[in-house]
Amino acid sequence: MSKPAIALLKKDLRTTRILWAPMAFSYGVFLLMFMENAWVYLATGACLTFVAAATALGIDDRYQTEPLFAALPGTRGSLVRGRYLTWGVVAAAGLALFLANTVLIHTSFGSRAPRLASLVSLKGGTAFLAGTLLAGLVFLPFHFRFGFWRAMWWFTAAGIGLSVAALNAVAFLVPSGVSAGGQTSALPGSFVSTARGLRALVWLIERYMGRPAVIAAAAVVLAVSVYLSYRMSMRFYRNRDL
Amino acid sequence: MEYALEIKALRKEYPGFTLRDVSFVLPRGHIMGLIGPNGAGKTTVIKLILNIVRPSAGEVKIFGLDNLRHEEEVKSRTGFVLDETPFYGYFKVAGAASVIAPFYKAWDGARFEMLCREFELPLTKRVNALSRGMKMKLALAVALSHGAELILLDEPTSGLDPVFRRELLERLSGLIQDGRTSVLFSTHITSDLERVADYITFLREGDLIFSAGRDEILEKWAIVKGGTELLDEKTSKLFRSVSRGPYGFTALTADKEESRRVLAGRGAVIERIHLDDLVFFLGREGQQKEEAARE
Repeated sequence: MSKPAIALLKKDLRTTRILWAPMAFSYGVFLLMFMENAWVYLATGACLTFVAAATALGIDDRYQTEPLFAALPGTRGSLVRGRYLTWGVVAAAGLALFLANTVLIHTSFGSRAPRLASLVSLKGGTAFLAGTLLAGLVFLPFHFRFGFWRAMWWFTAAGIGLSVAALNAVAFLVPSGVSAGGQTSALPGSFVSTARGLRALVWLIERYMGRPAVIAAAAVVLAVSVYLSYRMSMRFYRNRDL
Repeated sequence: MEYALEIKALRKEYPGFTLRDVSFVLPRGHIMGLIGPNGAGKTTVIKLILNIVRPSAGEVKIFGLDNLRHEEEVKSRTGFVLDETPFYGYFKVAGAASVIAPFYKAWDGARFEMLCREFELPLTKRVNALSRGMKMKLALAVALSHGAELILLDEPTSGLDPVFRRELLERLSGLIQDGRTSVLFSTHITSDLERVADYITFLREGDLIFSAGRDEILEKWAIVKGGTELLDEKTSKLFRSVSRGPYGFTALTADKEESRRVLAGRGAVIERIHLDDLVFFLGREGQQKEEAARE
């Protein structure tokens, strides 16, 4: 990793340092709110980590510092690498915080949150990291193409679209009994299949995620996603006027 | 001659504005002023040099190295002040510098602190609490704290009080005394340039009008004043831009000697030009051409 990329990581850590304590506190509070459903709990942790990683970009947008950093020693490529590095570091820190919070909450409120223990595992960690990193890998190319806020809109639209499509597809991958049932009958038509997809996804994670072959496959998918996302970000950022 | 900066046929196309094939050179150890009316392309040139915006065509060489192929090296030897001063508002002055310092191998923290003291910039004050002039001083302190050999300044004197402005100009003059450091400096305050610039580059609506030594400009260009009866076909060819008033005309000429010869004994006055006059008349010439094109 080049010196400018590391300098950008240091810069991101410095600019967000003031928010670490309140972020960690609110992280704990939010997780506490959703402790009764392990998968909503995990999704909350992943979302908060995404927000934490995006905060450095949001601060840069607030102070319009992109031209400044583009003018400092380094290339557009080193700035892109620095952002991916920050994302990785924040995801790792988010995972550590997530696991620590999970252990703490399970110890304190074990009777109300009996399934949390299952998240402190390779399965839980892989699911958390896959969610956090995949979200970042989709978001960052948008960021480098459009800038922070427009990227947020595109990411939200694309994220919802892709998630709904993926969940609808996942519903067909599992035995029909798995995804049926629950309170989906109250939902309008298109949401029913999405809710089935969510149940199917949870089933797939619980059944397969811990297996070495699945973890290896997840690592390969992640590596390919990192490569594609990085190449797109480089291409977009190289040609962007700041 | 060794050049700190060589720009060849640099072009940038935006919707509604094109910087058209600008070429000029800045020899090492000199100060160049970049002048022109608003929207002339001064900031675009500086942003292109720093690769903040991508060129549509052309080439920029800094110390003989291509600014895109050797980006990291040339930037580490370049200091800059942008027209906006984008520092994190909630940081203290010292903290703002510490964010930038890791990017430079040759960052000199002691020099930064010394410059802050000289500029009366309190290290413990938050950036949010600084005035525009003070933020400009902070940007200058950063630009001068890593031994830069080329310093690019985009409107650095705007927002500065006259005393500090004079001090800054003296400092820039002092910097180039080593024969190694060069400065490219865009400004609207042309009187600043008359004090310190060795070369002047004039841009108008994306076109390079001229790039020449200050003394050469002052030698060749002049202001001509006289009665309107002097304005005939022959004299009009000598003038780049003419301003008519009730008592006569004032015109800009790019050939002082020829004007002197043609107008000798006809009651015309030929005056030394100031850069302000140059900006005014050449800006006006641009407007007149634009109006003529519209008609």
